[in-house]
Amino acid sequence: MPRSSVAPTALPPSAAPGTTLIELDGVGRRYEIGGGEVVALADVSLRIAAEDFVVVLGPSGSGKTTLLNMIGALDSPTDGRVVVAGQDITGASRKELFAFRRHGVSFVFQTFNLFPALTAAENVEFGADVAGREDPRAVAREMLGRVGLGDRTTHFPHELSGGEQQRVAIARALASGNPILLADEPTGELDFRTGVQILELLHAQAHTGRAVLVVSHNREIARVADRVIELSSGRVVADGPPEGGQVEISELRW
Amino acid sequence: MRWTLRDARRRWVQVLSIALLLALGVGMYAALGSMSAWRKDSADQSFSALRMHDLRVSLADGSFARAGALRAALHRMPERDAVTVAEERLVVPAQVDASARGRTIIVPGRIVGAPVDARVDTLFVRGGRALRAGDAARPVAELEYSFARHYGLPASGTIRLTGGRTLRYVGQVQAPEYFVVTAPGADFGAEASFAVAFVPLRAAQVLTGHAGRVNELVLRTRPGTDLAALRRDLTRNLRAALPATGFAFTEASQEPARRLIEKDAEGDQQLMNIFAFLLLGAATFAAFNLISRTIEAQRREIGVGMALGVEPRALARRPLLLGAQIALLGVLLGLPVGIAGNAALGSVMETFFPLPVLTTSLRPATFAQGAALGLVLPLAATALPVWRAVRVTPIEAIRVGARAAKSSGLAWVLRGVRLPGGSLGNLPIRNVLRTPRRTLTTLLGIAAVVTIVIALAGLLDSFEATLDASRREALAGAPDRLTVDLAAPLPAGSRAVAAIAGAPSVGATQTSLRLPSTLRAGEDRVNAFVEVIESDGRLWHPTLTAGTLPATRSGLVISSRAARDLNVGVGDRVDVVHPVPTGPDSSQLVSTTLPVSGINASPFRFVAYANRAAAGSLHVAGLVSRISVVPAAGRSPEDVKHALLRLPVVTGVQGASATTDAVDQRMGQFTDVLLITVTVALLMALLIAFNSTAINADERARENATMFAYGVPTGRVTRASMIEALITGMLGTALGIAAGYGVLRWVIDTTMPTTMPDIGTLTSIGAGTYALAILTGTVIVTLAPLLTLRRLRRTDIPATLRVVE
Ligand SMILES: Nc1ncnc2c1ncn2[C@@H]1O[C@H](COP(=O)(O)OP(=O)(O)OP(=O)(O)O)[C@@H](O)[C@H]1O
Ligand SMILES: [Mg+2]
Repeated sequence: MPRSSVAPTALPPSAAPGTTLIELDGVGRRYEIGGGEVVALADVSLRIAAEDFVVVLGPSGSGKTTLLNMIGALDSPTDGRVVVAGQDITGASRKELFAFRRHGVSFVFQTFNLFPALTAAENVEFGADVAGREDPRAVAREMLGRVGLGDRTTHFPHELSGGEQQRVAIARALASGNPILLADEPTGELDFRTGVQILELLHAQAHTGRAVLVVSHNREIARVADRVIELSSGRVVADGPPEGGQVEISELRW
Repeated sequence: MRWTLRDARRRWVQVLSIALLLALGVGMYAALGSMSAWRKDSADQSFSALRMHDLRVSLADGSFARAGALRAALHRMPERDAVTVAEERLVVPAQVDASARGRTIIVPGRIVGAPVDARVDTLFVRGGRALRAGDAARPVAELEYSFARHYGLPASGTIRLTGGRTLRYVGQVQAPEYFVVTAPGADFGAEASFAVAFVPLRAAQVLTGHAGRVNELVLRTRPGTDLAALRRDLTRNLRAALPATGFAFTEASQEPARRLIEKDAEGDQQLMNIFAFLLLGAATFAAFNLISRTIEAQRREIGVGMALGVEPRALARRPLLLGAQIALLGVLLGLPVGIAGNAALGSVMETFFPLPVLTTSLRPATFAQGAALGLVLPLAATALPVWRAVRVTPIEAIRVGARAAKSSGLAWVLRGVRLPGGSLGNLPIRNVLRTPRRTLTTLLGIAAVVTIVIALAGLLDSFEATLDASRREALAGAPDRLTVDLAAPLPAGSRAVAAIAGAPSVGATQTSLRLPSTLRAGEDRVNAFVEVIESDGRLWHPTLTAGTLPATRSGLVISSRAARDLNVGVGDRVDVVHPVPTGPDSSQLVSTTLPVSGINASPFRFVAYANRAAAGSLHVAGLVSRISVVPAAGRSPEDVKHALLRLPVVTGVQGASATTDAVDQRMGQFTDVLLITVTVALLMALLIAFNSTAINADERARENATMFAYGVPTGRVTRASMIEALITGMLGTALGIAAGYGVLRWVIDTTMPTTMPDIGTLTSIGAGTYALAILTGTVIVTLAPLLTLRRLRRTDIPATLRVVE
C-alpha cells in the first residue's frame, strides 16, 4: 500500500477557489458483524474544492457520518482511496493520521463536545493549540468575536445555551485554521432560529477559502448549499446544486 | 445503552478487582482477628495434649522428701478419687554450660527428674529422640527446646553441669511449664538465660546427689474437681507427714507459662485488631468509593430510563445487582485470601510461639464479622448513588452527559487564572476542580491506603527507633561493654568481686547493684529494676533527659514511661519496694521512699537508677550484684564470657544491649505481621489505582475522543490523565500522611501501653516509609493511566462521539 507522509505544513490554511481539497476514488466501507457484512459506503467517488459549501443529505443509516469520518481520517476505507489536499491518507500510519487531523480537518459535532472544565475562550484556544498556531489566545479571542461571543469568553459551557455552545464549537474548529471543516448534524440539537444562525456561520466559512461539509437529513438545509450530495444505502444517488436552486438562508423554513 | 461483550468483559475485570480489594480486607480481617484465639486454642490443646498437671505441690527451696512420701499423702484423703494421676519429681537448680564451637553459653537453669513414662507433663520431642524405658537409670537428658533453639544447638549433644559433670542429651523437647520460659529478673527473652534438662528421675537423683529424694508432686484430677477442697485435704496430710517442711501449691491456671500466654495473647490481639480494622476499613472504604463512582457513571442511563417511563425499581435493579455481585464475590474471594493470610500469619505464630499443637484454621465467627461489613458497605455504596439518580428529574439526568456537565464544580476558582501550558496543560487541574465530589472520593480512597501504609510502616519505624534509642543508650561510650550478673549481692570488697575485676581478659570495671523492685506512687505501681550506680560512672552512666543524679543527696532516676504511669515528675517522691538480703539465700521486702531526681533516656519503663547516696536508705550500701566490664586491650567479649561464666558467683555475662535484643525479639512477631499487613496494603493500593484509572477512563471517554478527533496524540492525552492522577494522588497522599500520623500516634498512645506496657514506644516515621507512602499514593496512581494506554489507542472515536452513550 502506498504511503505518503502528511507533513503538517502540507496543507494551506486556505486555498484559492476551485482548488481541489478532497478527492475520493471508489471509496467503500464495510463492517463485518458476526459473520454478516454491513456496507456503510460503496464506490463513492467525489471531488470537493475550496470555498465549496456542501451539504450531505440522506436518510438515517445511509452512510453520511461514515463519509465524513473517511474525510476526517477518523476511519479508514476498506476500498478505494481518500486524498486530501494532494495527500493520500488511505494508507497513512496512525501517527500521520493524527497529524492530518491536527492540520487538515476540524470537526463540529452534533453534541458540541466542548470541554466542560474549560471556559469558552479556552475551548477555542484548544483548537489553535493543537494545530500549533501562534498566539492561540489572540486567535481564540478573534474567533469567538467572529461567532459573536466576544463577551462570553470566561463562561463555562454549562453557562451557555445550546446555540452558543455550538458557536463556541465552531470557533474552536475555525481556530485550528485548517482548510476543511466537517460538521455532522450541527443543528440537530437546536431550534430553528438557532439552527439558522449556525448555518449562516458555517456558510460564511466557505468564503474564507475552506471547504465546508455539513451533514444533515434535513432537505430544507440543503437548499442553501452550493452543492448537495445525496446518499442512499451507502451510494451517491445525486450530486449537484440543490433542487429548485439555491436560496438565501433567510428564506429557510422548517 | 450499549451492552457489548467488551463492555461486559471490562466490567467483569472491574467487578473482580474491586471484589479482590474487598476480599483482601475481609480475609486479612479474619486472619488477623483470629491470632489471639489461635494462640489460646493452640496453648489449651498443647497443654492438654501434653497432659499438663492440674495442681503442683512444691516443697520449699532446699527441702526434699523421701520418694513416695508425697504421693502417700494422697492415700489418706477423702477426695482421693478425684485424683487420676499423681507423680513425684525432683527439681534442682543447676548451672548449665552448653558452650559449643567457641561460643560460651553458661546460664542458670534446672534439672527436672521425672519418670521416663510420665503420665503427667509429658514431653513433646522437637528434635532427636524421646527418653525410653531403657534410659530410666542412665544419665541422659532432653534439653528444653526454646533454650536450644535460641542458641541453635544441635538436636543431641553434651552439656556440663555445676561442678563439671557432663550430661549427654538425646533430644530437644517442649514441656507444658516451659512453653513460655520465665525466669526471675528476666522479663523478656528468658529462654536465652534459662536452661532446663529433663532427666529420668532415678538418674536425676544420682546426678544431683539427692538419691531417693523428691520435692515436687504433680496431679491430674477429674473434671469438675474442687481444687480448693483438694488443697485443704492435701495441706492437712502433708503437714502431718512432713511437719518441718514448707510447701506451696500452684494450680495450672497460675503456672507462669499459662498466665503469660493468656495475658500476652490478649494484649497482642489489641494491636492485631488495629491492623485488621485498618485493612478492612481501607478496603471497604475504597470499595465503597469505587462502586459509587461506577454507579454515578450510570446515572445518565437511569435518567434515560426514567424519561422512557421505566419504573425506578426496574432501573435500580441492574446497578444494585452489580453491587451485590461485587459484595458476594468479595466475600467469596475473602475465603481463599483468609486462608492464605492464615497460612502466612500461622507461620509467624509458629516462629514466635512454637507449640506442640498449633491450630491456625480460619475462624468462621471472625470471618463472618468481616464478611458482614464486606457485604453491607458495597450494597450501601450502590444504593446511595442509585437513590440519588432516581430522585433527579429525567430531563436533568439526560442532560448530564449530552450537554456536558451540569456545572463546572470548582473550576470557577480558576476562571480568569491561567497556568502555563496552554489549554491542554490547564485541562488536568480544571478537571480535578470541575468534579469536586469525584475528586474527593478518589482522593479519600488513596488517602485511606496511604493512612495505613504510614500507620503500619510507621509503627515498624517506631519500634526500630525505640530499640535504636535503647541500644544507643546501652552502648554509649563503650560499645564492647558487658554486664556481669552475680548470683547474689556481694560486698564490694569481697574476693569474688575482686576476682572478676582482676581477671586478665577484663579491662575497666564499674560496679552496681540491681534491685528488682516495685515503684509506687499513690495507687499506681510499676515494676522496675532499680540499679544503684556511681553518679560519676567512668565506664558508663545513664543519659538524663531531665533532672540529675545528685552526687551527695539521695536520688532516683526513672524512665519517662514510668514517670507517666506513676504520674510523677522530678521532685516528687515514690516508694521503692525491694528485697533486702537477710542471709546467703534469703531476703526480705522493704519499702523505701526516694525523691525522683531525674528522668532517664531509656524507652523501657523498668529502667531506673539510684545513686550511692540512696544505697544507705535502701539498706544495700556497699553491695554489688552487677559489674559492668570492658574487655582488656586485645581481648574480645567472648574471652570475657569464657573466663567469667566459669566463676560460680557469676550467673550471666551479656552484652550491654542484651535487654534491648530480647525486646527486639519480642517485637519480632509484630514486625513480621506488620510486613505482611503492609504488603497487603500495597496490593490494595495497586487495585485501587487500577480501578480509579479504569473508571476515570470511562468518565473521560468522550473528552478523550474529542481530543483524538482534533489530532491530539495518545501520548499527550495520557499525559493529561497522568497529571490529573498526580494532582489527586498528591492531595490524597498528603491527607493520608496526616491521617496516618494521627492513627500512629493513637495506636502508640492507646494500644501499645496494653500490648507492651514495659516499653515507651517513640513515634517515628522514617524516610523509607514516606517514600513508600508516596510510591503507593502518588507514583503508582500517576503511572496507572499507562494501563489504559492500549484501550485508549483502540478508542472507536466515532462511536464514542455519537449522541447516545
Ligand atoms: N461501527 C459500526 N459497525 C457496524 N456497522 C456500522 C458501524 N458504524 C456504522 N455502521 C453502519 O453503517 C451504516 C451507515 O452508518 P452511518 O452512521 O454512516 O449513517 P448515517 O447516514 O450517518 O445515519 P444517521 O443519519 O442516522 O446518523 C449504517 O447501516 C450503520 O448501521
Ligand atoms: Mg450520522
